[in-house]
Amino acid sequence: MQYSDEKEVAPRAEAVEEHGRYLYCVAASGEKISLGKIGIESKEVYTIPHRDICAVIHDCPAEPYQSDDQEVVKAWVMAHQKVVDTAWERWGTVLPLSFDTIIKGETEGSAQRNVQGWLEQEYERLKSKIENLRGKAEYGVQVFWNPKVIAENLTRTSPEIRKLDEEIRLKPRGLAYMYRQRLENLIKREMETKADECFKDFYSRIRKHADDIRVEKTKKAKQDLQMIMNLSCLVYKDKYTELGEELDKINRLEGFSVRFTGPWPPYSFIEGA
Amino acid sequence: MVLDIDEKSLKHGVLGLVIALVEVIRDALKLQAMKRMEGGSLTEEEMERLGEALMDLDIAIEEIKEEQGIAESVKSVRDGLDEIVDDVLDRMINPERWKEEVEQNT
Amino acid sequence: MEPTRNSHATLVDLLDRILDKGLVINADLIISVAGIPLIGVNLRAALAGMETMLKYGVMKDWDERTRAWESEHRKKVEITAISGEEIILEMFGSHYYSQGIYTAWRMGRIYLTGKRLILYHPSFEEMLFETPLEKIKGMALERENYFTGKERENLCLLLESGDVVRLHALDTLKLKEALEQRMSTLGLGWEEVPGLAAHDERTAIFLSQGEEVICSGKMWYLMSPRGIMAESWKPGHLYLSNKRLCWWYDFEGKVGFEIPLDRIVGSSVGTRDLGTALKGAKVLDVVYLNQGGKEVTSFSGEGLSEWEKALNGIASGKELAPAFEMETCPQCGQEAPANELLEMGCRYCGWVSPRLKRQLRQSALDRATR
Repeated sequence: MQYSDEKEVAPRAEAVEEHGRYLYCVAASGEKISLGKIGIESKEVYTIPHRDICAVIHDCPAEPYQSDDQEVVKAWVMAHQKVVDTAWERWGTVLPLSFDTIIKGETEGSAQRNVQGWLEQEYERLKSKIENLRGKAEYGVQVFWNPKVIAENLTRTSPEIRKLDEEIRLKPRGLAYMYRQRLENLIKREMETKADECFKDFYSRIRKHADDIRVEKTKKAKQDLQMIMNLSCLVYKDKYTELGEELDKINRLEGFSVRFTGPWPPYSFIEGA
Repeated sequence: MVLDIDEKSLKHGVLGLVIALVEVIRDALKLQAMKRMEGGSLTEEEMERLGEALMDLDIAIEEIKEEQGIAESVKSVRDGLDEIVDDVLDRMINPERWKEEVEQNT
Repeated sequence: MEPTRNSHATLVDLLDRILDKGLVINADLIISVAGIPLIGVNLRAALAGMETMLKYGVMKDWDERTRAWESEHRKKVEITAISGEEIILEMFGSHYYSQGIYTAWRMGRIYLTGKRLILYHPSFEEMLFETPLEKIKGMALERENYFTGKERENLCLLLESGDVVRLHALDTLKLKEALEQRMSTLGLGWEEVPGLAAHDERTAIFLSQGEEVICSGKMWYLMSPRGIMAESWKPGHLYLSNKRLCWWYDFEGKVGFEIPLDRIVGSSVGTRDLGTALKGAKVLDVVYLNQGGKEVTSFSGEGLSEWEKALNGIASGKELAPAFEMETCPQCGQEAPANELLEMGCRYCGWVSPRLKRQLRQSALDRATR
């Protein structure tokens, strides 16, 4: 018998099958909970726990997120970070994963089982990493210098350079050019030595305030600045002010500037943990 | 990879590449000139003429870049070339070495 | 110092971590991206401002914006070299520079200020040429056949020092007029010196007081062995003046050979093989008196028979042969005496001057209408 107020049920909105599990991070908690629709493309983020750790995931099609549209990708990346941050704030320690890590599953529900199985298998290793990183955060430290300013300082303080500089003023155009080139080479060599010295000096000073440091590749800097040091530092969350003070001292040196970013979840220190 | 080629872009692309390479060659010439200068095999007069010629070359290159408006394109090409070289070198030189040195001394 | 993370500036720092680092999971569990993942590459490249050659379109816009900014910015840049002086006229221009091992037009901006005429290169802050107005004693406009094939007008200035300066400007006539006006206002005098154009930098250097050039032309000279260098032909310019015959060596920027007129005995043109490549080339042998006796020196180039006539005229004590100036044909670049080019045209390529063309056309018309 059909009742007149029985409505037609709308067809299920999930036309696309979601056999994949997008993995954001592993958190230090055994809570089984949903964090809400805070994920990429507003997907619902929830946890799959095993004992006292859990995987933070959302359901998705079993294929990577790809797009030519930069704005779209930016939005995805920001969403990813937001989820990791939320987990971090809530549970204190997380092991973040790279963007676009999707656990696969051939059939419905098998991805879920894969995640579970992986947590069980890797429990000891994951738990150990979590303990090593408990209470710590990653900070980015980049030291720049202005080559012109440093070169000027060197010219002032190095008698050899000063002498050559003066000699050049007396020479005719072509010779002056050649000698200026020699001067530039000389200055360049002295600057390389200075960069080396500064690196070692700053590194040892920073080392005292960090639990661990990873040396990263220096990158192209803006305009007239040159990056001479690029570090990722693992620091106790309450100790970062001391690091900040040390960086202040370096920042105040003539010709130097420091970029201090963070706190980041410990992306750079997981494999070493 | 879709290449968006129109006249102006081609100029930036091809001319930029050519001038970037001219600059690289010029740098190599400068290097050679300096080596000969340091080696003491040039007379003062020869150094004077060499210096003037190199200086004029510098100016000519700058003028071309200015007149054609390709200074940024040339810089892009050279930065790109630098990156490739850096990448290769990076695999040979490990910045971790510095870290190890300092760790050993502290 | 406080750490930062929630701004656009730190997006790159975030990307460096989120795209490359983090916990690693066994590969068989994850869905991998086939090939090079372009997501991170493109995004990072764009954010770091490092456009690659893959995106021509983007680079073009960027370059144009930069250029627009640059030209806008350049107008505002005050040239410290002339701050305080009133700028009467400024325009793009160039100066003919011939003191180096090669000659060239050097470009920059011409500034006519209340006190000076300057050619300045703003980007390098280099003063290419400068003269106070009172040092200008003579001026002339010159028509030159520029290497592009077009004719250009140059401004030649005779300075107090005796130097002749050649300038070219976007509007040379306007520059000359403005210059004349300013100099009149200042009460300075100068002369129109039509022959100035023929006067070149080289002669300015080596000509002595009262010495005048009678004829000149490009000429190869057979240089005697020097040190380890064997006898060889060198390019340069030959000048016959009222005092001597001398040859200017371009490469060294100085006179490489000279003999006073009264030592010239005679000359003759012959054909010789110059090296393996050049057979049967015309050579001018000049015989002259030296300490030890008679000596011969050889030259090769264009217009040798004219030179022979002139030199033999001198040697025999006759009046100096009528002056001839060697000119290059604007069409094919071959050298020939100037009057020959103007009155008969080029014997090599058949080029004819516009005036001559008109004349010929006129006479053809006249004949046709008779």
